[in-house]
Amino acid sequence: MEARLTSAPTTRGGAPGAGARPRPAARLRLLGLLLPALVLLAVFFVLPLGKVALWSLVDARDGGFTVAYYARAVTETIYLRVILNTFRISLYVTVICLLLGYPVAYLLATVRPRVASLLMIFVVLPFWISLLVRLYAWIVLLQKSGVINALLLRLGLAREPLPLVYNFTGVVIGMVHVLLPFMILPLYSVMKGIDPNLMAAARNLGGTPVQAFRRVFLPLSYPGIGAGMLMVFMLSIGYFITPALLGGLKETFIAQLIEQQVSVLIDWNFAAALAMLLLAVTLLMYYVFNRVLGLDRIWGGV
Amino acid sequence: MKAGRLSRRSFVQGAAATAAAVAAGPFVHTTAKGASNKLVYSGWGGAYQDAVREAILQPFTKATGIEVVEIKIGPTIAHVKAQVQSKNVEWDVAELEAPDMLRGKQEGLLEKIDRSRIDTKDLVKEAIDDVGIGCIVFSTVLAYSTLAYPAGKPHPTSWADFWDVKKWPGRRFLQDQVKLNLEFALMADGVPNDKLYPIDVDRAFKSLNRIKPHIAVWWKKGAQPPQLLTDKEADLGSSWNGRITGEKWKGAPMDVEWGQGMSQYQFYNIPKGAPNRENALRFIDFAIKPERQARSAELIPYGPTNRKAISLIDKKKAPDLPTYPENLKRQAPFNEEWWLKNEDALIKRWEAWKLA
Repeated sequence: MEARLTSAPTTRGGAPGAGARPRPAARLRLLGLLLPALVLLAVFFVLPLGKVALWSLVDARDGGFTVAYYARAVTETIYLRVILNTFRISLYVTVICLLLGYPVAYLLATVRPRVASLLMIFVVLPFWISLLVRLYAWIVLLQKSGVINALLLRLGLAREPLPLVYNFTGVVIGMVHVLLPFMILPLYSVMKGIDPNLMAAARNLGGTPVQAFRRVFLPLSYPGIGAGMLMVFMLSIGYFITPALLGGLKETFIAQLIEQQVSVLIDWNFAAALAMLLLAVTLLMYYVFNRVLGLDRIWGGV
Repeated sequence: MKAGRLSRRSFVQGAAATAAAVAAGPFVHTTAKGASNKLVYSGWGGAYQDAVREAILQPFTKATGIEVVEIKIGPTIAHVKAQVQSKNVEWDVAELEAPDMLRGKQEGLLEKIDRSRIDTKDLVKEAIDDVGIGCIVFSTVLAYSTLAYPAGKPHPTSWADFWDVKKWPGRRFLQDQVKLNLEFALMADGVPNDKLYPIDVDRAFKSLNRIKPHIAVWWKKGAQPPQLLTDKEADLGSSWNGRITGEKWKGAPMDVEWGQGMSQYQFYNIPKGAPNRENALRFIDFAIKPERQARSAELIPYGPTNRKAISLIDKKKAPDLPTYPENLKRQAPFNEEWWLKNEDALIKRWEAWKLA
């Protein structure tokens, strides 16, 4: 059903119109426009990543080829356990971001443009505040003697201060706050592209508002859901300082262990192997997400 | 790639300039790039670097005419390794903590210090190393809120007290790291201060199991303990002494217990291939003079490594420093070398213990 509803032309399918092959001169100009970005990516992303990949396979002592670092990363169970832990918390964060972000994106996509741009400021506002400032602000709000607990106690909603920080709850709150815009923005861009007449038509044909939403709007927004979830999840698993400051003993993220290898033990080759392992698992997740939610529709341009 | 080659060239230029300056003697102050009149100092930023600037960097420039370029980064051996490996060494003096220095020595990332150039006769012996000269001493100590434990009344004075949650109720914090926590756990379990090494790891973890459920916050950043005490989030826990005493000097209700604290050193190091090595040696010799160290310690409560410095420090402030003789006596000696050999394995065990 969803396939039928979302079968808008995609560039991948070699559809006519937008997908028509540009003439050579135009292609050259396009390449020229892309060049700065490509060079930037090559120098600051591909090269360093290649170097990290190389480190992970080279023996630090004699410079020979080795898979010993990967063997260590896989056989010493603590690293896989922490990676799983990272994924588990990231998944919670992603789902909560979706539940909170979807209605906001819906609102943004359906109100008048002037109201939407005003509301958009609130969505992107957190980007303008330093991450560390936000984290310490959350500590002040959430701690035992913090603003929220003080309020709950005064209102009689809690008998003793609730443990809101230095645990799972604190990490999830802090991360959701930072990552929510990454969910809302792709959702918004997809929802903006959904023709409101389709909803009206569904109502016209006898559907209730709920039915129209569930069978028309929701499926059409799947690519946005997919892109938002992917974005939030991918960003989550690299998190480092938020779980360190707002978490407790059990909220260790793999990035923290990689950092220990880099700066405490200066075992960069092993750190590289851990990082590549994380990258591999991440790419695997991307593949799965893509198969299930058809993300290339998003990257194909909405 | 290109950047690497370029910087190697500029490095060679810098080194040549330094060599030329050395050969020409004290009469030549500037060369092609003025390298010999410059020193790049990499420090820890914040209140500490403010103190270092006033007590050491500015007087150094005044005395020698050498311009000091400040880096505020919290230098680690990883930074040094990146510079040395890419043959793009920018720092002349980096203040490294002892474990970083020892790893750097192992990997050949640090210049050997020419001791004939530095007056070390009054330094404590822990402050002298082949590749570094100790600049300050900081201690990890039992910190407590003076609201929970007012002055004149008893407060916890040992790690055994800290472990005794019945006798000493209160919310507790410890640092989220294996180092030092094993020592504290052993002392809590009755091991004497001077019999901690080699650490009985199993016994230490068993002891840690007992305190684990009573720790409200496992802190990651040095700023957290004073914040926890100020906000009444917690009443006692391990902390770096300087953070607590710094707040105490400003009037905050907190203090440190020196008994069973553990001291660690921070060192001046010269990264391998540093552009202005000559100036670095002059700087180190200048910085460890008792007057400079005493002034620094009055501005920020880290201990001097020069024995003569203590007597020059304001009498009100000296008893708050880790190297004050009374405090030194009550602390437990820390063994950096043991950790150098064992830290890797113990970090893994610590991470597993956290999840258990």
